[in-house]
Amino acid sequence: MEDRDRDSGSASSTSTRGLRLELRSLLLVYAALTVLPLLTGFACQG
Amino acid sequence: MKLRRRQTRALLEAWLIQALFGKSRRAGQSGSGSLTPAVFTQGFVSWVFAALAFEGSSPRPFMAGTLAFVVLLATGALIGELDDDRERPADRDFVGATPTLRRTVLVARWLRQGIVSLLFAGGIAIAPAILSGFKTQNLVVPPLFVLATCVLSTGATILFASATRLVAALLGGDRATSFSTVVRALLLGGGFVAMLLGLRAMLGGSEVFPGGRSLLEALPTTWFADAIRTADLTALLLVVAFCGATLLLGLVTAQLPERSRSSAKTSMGGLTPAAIRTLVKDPQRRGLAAFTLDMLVRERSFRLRALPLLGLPAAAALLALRSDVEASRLPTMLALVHQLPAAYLPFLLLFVPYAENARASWLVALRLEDPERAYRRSFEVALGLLILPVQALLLVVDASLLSFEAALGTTLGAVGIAWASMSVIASTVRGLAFSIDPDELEVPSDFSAPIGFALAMTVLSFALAALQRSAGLMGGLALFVAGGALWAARARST
Repeated sequence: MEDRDRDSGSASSTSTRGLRLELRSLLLVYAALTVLPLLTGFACQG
Repeated sequence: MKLRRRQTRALLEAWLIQALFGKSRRAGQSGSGSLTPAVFTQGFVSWVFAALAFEGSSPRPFMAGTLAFVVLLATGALIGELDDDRERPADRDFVGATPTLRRTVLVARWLRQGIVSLLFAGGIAIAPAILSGFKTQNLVVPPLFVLATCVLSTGATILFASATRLVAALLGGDRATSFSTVVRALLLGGGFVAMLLGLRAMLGGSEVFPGGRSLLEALPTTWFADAIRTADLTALLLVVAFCGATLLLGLVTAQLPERSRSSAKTSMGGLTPAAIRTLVKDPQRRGLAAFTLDMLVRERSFRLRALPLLGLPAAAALLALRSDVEASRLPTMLALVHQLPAAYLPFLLLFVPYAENARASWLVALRLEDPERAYRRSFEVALGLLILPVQALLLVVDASLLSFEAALGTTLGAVGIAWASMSVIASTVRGLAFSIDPDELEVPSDFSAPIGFALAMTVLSFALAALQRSAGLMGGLALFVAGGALWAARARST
């Protein structure tokens, strides 16, 4: 019973860690998507 | 209160993991999410679109156009990939069986929708939002643009879900699935045309768009863009009314029960079964032909892949028709449009091995006759029948531009050519049809046969146009009879 609890607990924390990692990589993508239009805007409007 | 918060958190976590990792985990990969690459590619596409329209458009069309484009992209993804039908039975069994309050589930579901929408729609709206800020010289515009994209795409998703639920309540779950697939395909095909026409309208003025200024001003995306840009009172009222009406509709339709109906068909009436009975004599082959036709029409994964492929050439043809083609070149152009469905069939047949109920394929695989060959024969019959409604639709388009006699001649000729080449088309079916899970899709690498066939059909379309010019309706009729005789003879042969 304890083993099962431990297993489900570790599976849950692995998933949560995966979720955090995914959100972190999303932030990087957002940063990249922010730089592109900033460059375009400054280039076009001087 | 604490328990309810813990339950909401647990549900949210499970649903977010499903939304972010579900697709890759079903494909057997661990650790890689599907949201990040989707946000990056679609965000990049929205930046390209906004950058193309940035120079040479004034602020109002720029903001309304880019907002409509991003909302279309986000809605297409939110109702397609991210909200997977296969997760619903899991929700029903796991969430329905736990002592969770209905309200907690509802709150968690709305929160999940909001978070996924913010992560995805908000992400792909970043680039046009910043460029809108440059355009209007206003720092408040970018965050409001991102918020508007989230609200609009969530609203559109709610409207879509409400309409699907309404169809399910009135006509049953299977009809609702068909309805949602057709709407998705229309969204993709229509979105492609709207994108090209919209870009032209953003640069050249709203009168270039079909429906003109009045249609564009009736779009909710234009109300949101006006409300952000000028805080115009009418636009603000329209925005509030849109949000209120969508929420109300979502709440009302959420309570609707699905109409239960037996999936077993009680009768084999109708035109199509009669045609199959007349064409195919052998009972086994007749059964397989009817099954193939049913699967082509009903198999969700095939329709999801096939309809956009069929929609894109149609959209390209319609676009070409809208531009000013000389009257003398119109018959040749329309003959080409009539050949497109048959020319594209080999490309569609590349997706035929995939089916969501692939495990049932042993039913056919255990036949005594070579199952692959049997399938090819049944595809000849099924595709020959499927091409008829498509050509009838093209006849309507054709007759609106040419005389009815000329349109009928071209249509009959195109049907005849398609029937005559059906054995070549069906020979491109590789492997056992409907036998592989769609998640195991392997992108085909060899396109030489479909491309060669499409080129041959293009050449034949010029021949068809020439025949139409010299022999008129009789030429088309002759092709129709000859092609039909060839097709029927092959269907009857053992």
